[in-house]
Amino acid sequence: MTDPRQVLGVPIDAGSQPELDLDALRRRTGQLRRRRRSAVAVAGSLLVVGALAGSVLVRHPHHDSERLVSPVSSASPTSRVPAPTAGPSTGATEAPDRGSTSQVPPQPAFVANTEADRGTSSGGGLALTSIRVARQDGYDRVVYEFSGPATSLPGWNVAYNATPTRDFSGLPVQLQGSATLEVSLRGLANSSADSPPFSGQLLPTDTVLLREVLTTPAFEAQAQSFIGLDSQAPFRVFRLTGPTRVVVDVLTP
Amino acid sequence: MSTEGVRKLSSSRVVTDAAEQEAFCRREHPRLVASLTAYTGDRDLAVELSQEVLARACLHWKDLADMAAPGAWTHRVAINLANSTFRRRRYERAALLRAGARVLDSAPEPAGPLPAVVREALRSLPDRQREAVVLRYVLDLSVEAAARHMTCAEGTVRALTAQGIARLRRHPELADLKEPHDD
Repeated sequence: MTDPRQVLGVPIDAGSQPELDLDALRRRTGQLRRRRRSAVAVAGSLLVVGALAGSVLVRHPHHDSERLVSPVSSASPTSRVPAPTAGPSTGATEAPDRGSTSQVPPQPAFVANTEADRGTSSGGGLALTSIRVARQDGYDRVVYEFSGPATSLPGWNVAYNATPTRDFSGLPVQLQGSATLEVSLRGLANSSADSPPFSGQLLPTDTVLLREVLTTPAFEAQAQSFIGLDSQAPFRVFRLTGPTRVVVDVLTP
Repeated sequence: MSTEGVRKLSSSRVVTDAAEQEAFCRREHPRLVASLTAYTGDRDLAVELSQEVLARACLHWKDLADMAAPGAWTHRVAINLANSTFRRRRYERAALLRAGARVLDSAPEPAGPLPAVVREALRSLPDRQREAVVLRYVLDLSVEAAARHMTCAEGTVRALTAQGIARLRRHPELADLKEPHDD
């Protein structure tokens, strides 16, 4: 009986050692890097344009009332809230065992629907610090930003609701637009008299479908936010870190 | 049996980084060429694919440094590239045939150190069986290491290897091959 290694093993003799062309390797790496950079730059420039046009509701610790601040320019093109790539990310092969925790989770080409979306929270003790709305290429985006323990993660339950009501009072919510996306954010710290919970209203003017975002004060570790839209469009929700954010994207026609 | 050590990059200096990358590429290149040559039957293609895989490894170097088994990553990328190369060639061939071009019935035999009968026999295996056989008998990996490379269970590796050898033995010249044993 023959050992398969003898039959299948590629013979190693003096002449058959494969030559590694390091120069070609370096050139190819550089080429791939440049391609990746230009893809990011295109996405980043779209983001900057969107951020400049968007409106921001920022909570200031010294003010009890909310201030509508607009326009606000975002950071550099490699900023914290990235736009999704047009299709699958660079390279047909992504390693299945990527152990590193990158800041940006792999974003699918806009896989979204109108079904309810849920994310689990962990840790707790978070506080909602700002809400931003921006029009992006292909979707309207709402970003909820949090502060709090670095290891805590916010959770969410986002679903279309035909009869939106405020949690605490039970009163119905009247919003601009004909469809309401209710965003329930979990994992928050209980609000106290010292740190009043975040609330406010945003009425963006440049978005395609999004008409209003109304956020009610947090109650029992949950904050409630209602997004008024012109129509029930597919959406997706995901989490970002550094700083901790929950992003809701609504697909625009 | 080969071992996969935990690789941790010293993140401080660029000089050390480049040296680490070069050492990794020099180590992996012969292994990639050997496995890809057996997998594709085409040594020139194997060298080309290995260069491409290692360029991508250098591009993703930060992520590779965090992995316990970067060799498994490079193998996976290499096999995927090989498979998509074949897929593309099949589509091109089909397109040419549809266009009425006169295509040779069999592509000219690619250069390779393995005897033609072995190349032919390996080509007859389904992708996953061929991959398992290559990892176990060309790269001489343990069942555990092969399982990591193929991102499947050890039992699956054993099954695929046994099926692969059984199919190879159907060829009269290879009827003598030893059945795989647990090691």
